[in-house]
Amino acid sequence: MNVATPPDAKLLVERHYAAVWSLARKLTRDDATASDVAQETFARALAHIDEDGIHSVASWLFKIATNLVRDQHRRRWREEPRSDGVEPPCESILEKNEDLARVRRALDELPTESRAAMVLHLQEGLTVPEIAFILDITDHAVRNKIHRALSRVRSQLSEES
Amino acid sequence: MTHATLRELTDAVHGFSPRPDHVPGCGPCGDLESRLEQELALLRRADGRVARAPRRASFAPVAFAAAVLVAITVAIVLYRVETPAINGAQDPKKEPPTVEKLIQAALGGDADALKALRAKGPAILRLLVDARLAAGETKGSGDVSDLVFEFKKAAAADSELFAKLDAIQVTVDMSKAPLGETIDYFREVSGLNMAIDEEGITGDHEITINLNGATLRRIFDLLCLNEKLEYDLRCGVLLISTPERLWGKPKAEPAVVPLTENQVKAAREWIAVLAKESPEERAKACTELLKLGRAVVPLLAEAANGKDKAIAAHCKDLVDRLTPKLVAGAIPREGTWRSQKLAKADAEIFTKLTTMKIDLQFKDANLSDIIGFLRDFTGLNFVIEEGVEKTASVLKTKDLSAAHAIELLTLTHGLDVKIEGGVVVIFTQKK
Repeated sequence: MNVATPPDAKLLVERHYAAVWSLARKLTRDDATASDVAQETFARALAHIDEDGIHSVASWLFKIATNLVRDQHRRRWREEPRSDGVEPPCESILEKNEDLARVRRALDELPTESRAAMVLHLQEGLTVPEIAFILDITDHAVRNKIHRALSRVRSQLSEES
Repeated sequence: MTHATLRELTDAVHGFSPRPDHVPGCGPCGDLESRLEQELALLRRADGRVARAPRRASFAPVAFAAAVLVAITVAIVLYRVETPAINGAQDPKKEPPTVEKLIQAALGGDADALKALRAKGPAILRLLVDARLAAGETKGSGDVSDLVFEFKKAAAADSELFAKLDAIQVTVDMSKAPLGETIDYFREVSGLNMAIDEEGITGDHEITINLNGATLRRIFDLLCLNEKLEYDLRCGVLLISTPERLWGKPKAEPAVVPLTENQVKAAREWIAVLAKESPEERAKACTELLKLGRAVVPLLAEAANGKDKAIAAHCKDLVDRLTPKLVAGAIPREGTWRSQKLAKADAEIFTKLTTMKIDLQFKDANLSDIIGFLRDFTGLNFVIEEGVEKTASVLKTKDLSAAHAIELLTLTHGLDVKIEGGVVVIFTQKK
């Protein structure tokens, strides 16, 4: 095992801290918790970094951060509701265009793993294989999670209206 | 006419899959696609409120935590104390391998890795092709080639051609034959329609191949592996081209992992070796530098501007080899006319072209000459739009539909085809 030396550690933190904190904040919805998750992410990353074995440092850090958030939510982890197969028209989101806060709230209420998939896709611009690596699921499951999340957000906004 | 489903359109708008061919000519689908694009923009806007960390990251606690963990790690390594991992589920050593790692394992002959890749489906075809071409002949390259073939077949609208490639056996004995002549030979002995992508394949390819009773699939796999080319079904023919032209560029460049201090030190030492007289030592240094990947480019670029001319020349070459090449976009799978909403008279023209079979034998012919021939042969009106580059072409087909022949002539040369007002119009592809 190769352990990062302090200069490597500093470089790693400088380059990726903001992105990891931002991801953690979106998943935890709390600044202080996000800071804790980010600190813990880098502490674990620095202890386990392998100079030859990591293909994408950013994806690897996102994976650790997502796992930490998932651990925090484990007790209230619940089965993700499945779509009933009847999708409301996609206009239901657009109709609420004037009220971004409601869209944000609907996104915040997604189950943690669906929320993570949406954040990694919408904000980080990661590809499906990259998200699949971070969440430990197949490419197909990533696409399904995003579709279900969209369906759920559309339904919620439709109900509210 | 079957409209695209909401899921298909969502997949296309979110970049998960190509845009359904039906959409460009369909008003309702186009409208829904447009609304989904607005929806995506809205979601991004709504979800983008957390931009940055509220305070600058404090390095001290992390460094302290790292120091503590380093001490623990050293203790474990030195005394070989059997202690459980902090959290098995989060131990990075136990993370599932990436697609890239699975491909490398499969190329090394790992059957489990191959199985995992098969489960991922044709979406990873481009990555597989790149890795296979880069690796050359390895223990597992045959199995990976089989998987590439399987994925191509699954993605093809007509799998008959792939079945024939697997069934037809040919004996071939060629030495330094031009690629064009080689393909002419295979076309002749197999009766299959084959073409070379003249725009995509650059440089001279001299083919030396000697096989007795091998399947066409085996022959093309070998030929393409040696020449760093690929083949797939396009425009009704087996088209030999580059991976970039057949499937486009990978969606994202692989991430560049920064070099560690030790790697930087080693890289500088290998760069110094480039000044030595021994070709073996220089070759070894080049290999070691290439292994470091694109992260070493800044060091090489610095050395390329240095005073030592020998080192500078080698470093310039290495930078060139490590820099991703800009390539043209992929060849469209179909002409615009297949997604057009055609009026009845135009639809009849399209049906005629898809059902009419045609044999063509053109070499270094002008586009106008070939279109003139097609005009006479089909009795239809053709127009070449102003500004279309009328380059010379090779077009050899047998019993191919006129529609596919026209697509082969146009799509592989940066052109496209549509039908308007009873006229077949050749125009320049939109970038």
